[in-house]
Amino acid sequence: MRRILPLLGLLLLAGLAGSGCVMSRVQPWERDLLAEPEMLPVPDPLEAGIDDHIYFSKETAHGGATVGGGGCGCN
Amino acid sequence: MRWSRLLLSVALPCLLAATLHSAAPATGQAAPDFNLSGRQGTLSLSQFRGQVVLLDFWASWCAPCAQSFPWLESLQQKYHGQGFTVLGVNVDKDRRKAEAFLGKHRVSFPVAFDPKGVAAAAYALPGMPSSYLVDRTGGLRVCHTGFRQEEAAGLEKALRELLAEPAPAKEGQ
Repeated sequence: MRRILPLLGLLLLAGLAGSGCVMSRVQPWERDLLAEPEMLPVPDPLEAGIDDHIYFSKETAHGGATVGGGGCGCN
Repeated sequence: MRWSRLLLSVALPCLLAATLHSAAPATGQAAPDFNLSGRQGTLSLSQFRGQVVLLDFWASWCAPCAQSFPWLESLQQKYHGQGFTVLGVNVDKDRRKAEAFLGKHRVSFPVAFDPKGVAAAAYALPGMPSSYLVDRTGGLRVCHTGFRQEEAAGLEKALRELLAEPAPAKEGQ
């Protein structure tokens, strides 16, 4: 019994982790509250614009910070 | 050994979940049908068989959706008499939000409510809004994501082409 307990715990953990994967991705049509402006990391548009500009010019990233990010996934 | 087993037991369900994810329907295939509640009874895609349908998935929280509504309504006004309809599918979880949006953006085309995202999952929407042009036989012809004013003319042209196609033979062909 002593030997089996940790194994059972491990199985339980693995099961939890496994089921967690299924929930991991929010689909575009499920964004709902996540699409609200309050959910932005920087809610102030001017400050966000400055941050974006610095990020973009420093990292030469792929088309700015919003690609595949917040909003509705349409731009 | 034990760790590799643990890894396997975590990775397998993940892989399974990834493969179970429904793939987006391709143009040329039949457009997935659905049964959803509308403002006046049930709405399905198949009940518009014989008409060209612009299926538009929208939500109250989606800014470009609000931009697209006047354009959708203008299409409805312009082509409704020629065997065409816009069919809006709302994916808000809270119906009241959808109704508030519809109060602000009044439209004459039918709107179905998909709070559980059943139809949205069947089409595996790549973004919001997503619109689809369905021909008179129920075939999926054009997939479009997002709304930009400069792309509207192209969609309208595709719609006119579909309207110009001959109507299919009557039932039981």
